[in-house]
Amino acid sequence: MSFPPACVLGKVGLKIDGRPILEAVSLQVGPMERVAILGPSGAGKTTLLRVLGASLAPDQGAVQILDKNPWQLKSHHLRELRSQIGFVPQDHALVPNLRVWQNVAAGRLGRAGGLRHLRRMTLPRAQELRALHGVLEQVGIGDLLFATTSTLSGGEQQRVAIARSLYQEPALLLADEPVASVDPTRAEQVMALLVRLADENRLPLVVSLHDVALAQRHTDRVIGLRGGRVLFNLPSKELSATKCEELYALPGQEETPR
Amino acid sequence: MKHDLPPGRRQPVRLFALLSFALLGVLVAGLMGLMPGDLIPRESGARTAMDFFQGALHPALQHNNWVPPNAPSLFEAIAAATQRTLLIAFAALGLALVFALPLAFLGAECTWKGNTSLWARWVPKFTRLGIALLRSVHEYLLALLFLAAIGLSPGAGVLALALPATGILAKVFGELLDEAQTRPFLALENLGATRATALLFGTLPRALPDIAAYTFYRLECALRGSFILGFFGFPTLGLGLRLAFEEGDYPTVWTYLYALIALMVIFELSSAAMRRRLRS
Repeated sequence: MSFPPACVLGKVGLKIDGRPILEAVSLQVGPMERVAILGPSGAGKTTLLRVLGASLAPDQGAVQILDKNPWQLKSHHLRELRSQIGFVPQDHALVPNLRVWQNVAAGRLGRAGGLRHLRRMTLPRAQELRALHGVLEQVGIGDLLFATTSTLSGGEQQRVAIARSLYQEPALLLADEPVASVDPTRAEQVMALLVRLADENRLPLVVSLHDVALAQRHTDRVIGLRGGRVLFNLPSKELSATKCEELYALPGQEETPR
Repeated sequence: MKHDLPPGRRQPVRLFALLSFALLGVLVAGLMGLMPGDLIPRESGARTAMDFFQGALHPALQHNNWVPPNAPSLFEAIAAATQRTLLIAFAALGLALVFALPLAFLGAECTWKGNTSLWARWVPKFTRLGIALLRSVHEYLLALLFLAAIGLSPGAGVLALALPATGILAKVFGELLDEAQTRPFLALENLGATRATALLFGTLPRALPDIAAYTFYRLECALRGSFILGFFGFPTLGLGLRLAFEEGDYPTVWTYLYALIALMVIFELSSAAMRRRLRS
């Protein structure tokens, strides 16, 4: 393919409070590729996503996001890079007492703007409101444009967070445990939505998940993370049951000692 | 069989600390010779008290003492004094608000967290020192100082109320900002917003209802403060009260007190309505 990969990590290592969270993680995310990061709780999935989102600097290894090394950039260039990365956090990180449209409009606060941000967040032009409404329609909650965010259900709030990332007009979409707290039917819906949005906007998509079958149904490639190390990195169809068991085995049950 | 419980306190010490503090207070009051019996007045005192409270039943409706023939009526005088009381309070709090918000951000921990520059080290320290200094002198002491320095101008009264109000607003706003959730702030930083932008739209909105509610409370304090400024000669409601009190004219004292009470009730009702709207 003529496009460069969206993310390249080379032997990335990261410690938090002296405890290794990621060790020698190497991976690539191709342009328009859909990748799932699988692994048990505490495997380092969120940390890995934050490295991919240029919000956490690793201690070791090489990071290349959208063809740039974020940690060699000057701060305003780093902000510019971050404004091109849509990150849907697990807890949504919305301001509860703002209106839905304001939380979505916050997606563009990463752009240069200064005082214009104040106007956009308080007195939006009709054209801006139409754009915000359009993004909310894309995630299926257009009617909630003027609702107070805290009155929304968890699922709706997640869609607001997704809409905020879309409004950024990103070049890369990351989602941390987007189905962590929904039932299987809604999990299917959310994954389908993320994949559709990634397709429509021609974005590479990286999602962290627990559910192997769900990942296999919706993504091209699965990366298994265990104890901060990559256990497998395979096309979704090639993932075998033994690999999965190894990934989720409780400590002491590992069949292949390392 | 020996059964070990996990480490940790069984219950917080707050309640115990609070109760012992209250007990200590009662003990100290006893040591100072404060006895409930002392609160029963002597005969002459009882008479004065009776006069005073009887005034409550017959507040003055017109001037009880001699006034120049073309002087405004008592109600006109009270209306004008009420207006000045309100103006001084609003001006003082408006001024305080303008300076308190930036000071709160400069002194708040959330503004500087993770920033390792020399600015991040010293600006919040000096800001908090400044805020503490603003709070350290009571408004009536400042009123006396400004009275001596600038004289009996409304500006002196406004400034005397505004300086400590700036300090207390900045301190409380800073605490409210630090208490607000940091997740939206971090999310905005992660999508490329500058720290200032992320604070303004990620942190401030969550704290804003509490900031507004506290501002209303301080406005109420400023209204009472403005009333009391009259005792120092500023032409607010307190001046009329003081003059009437000095003449033992209790009915007029009560007229002024009722004016204050009415003012506070009206203010409380309107600010409660406003707060409800801000919260929703």
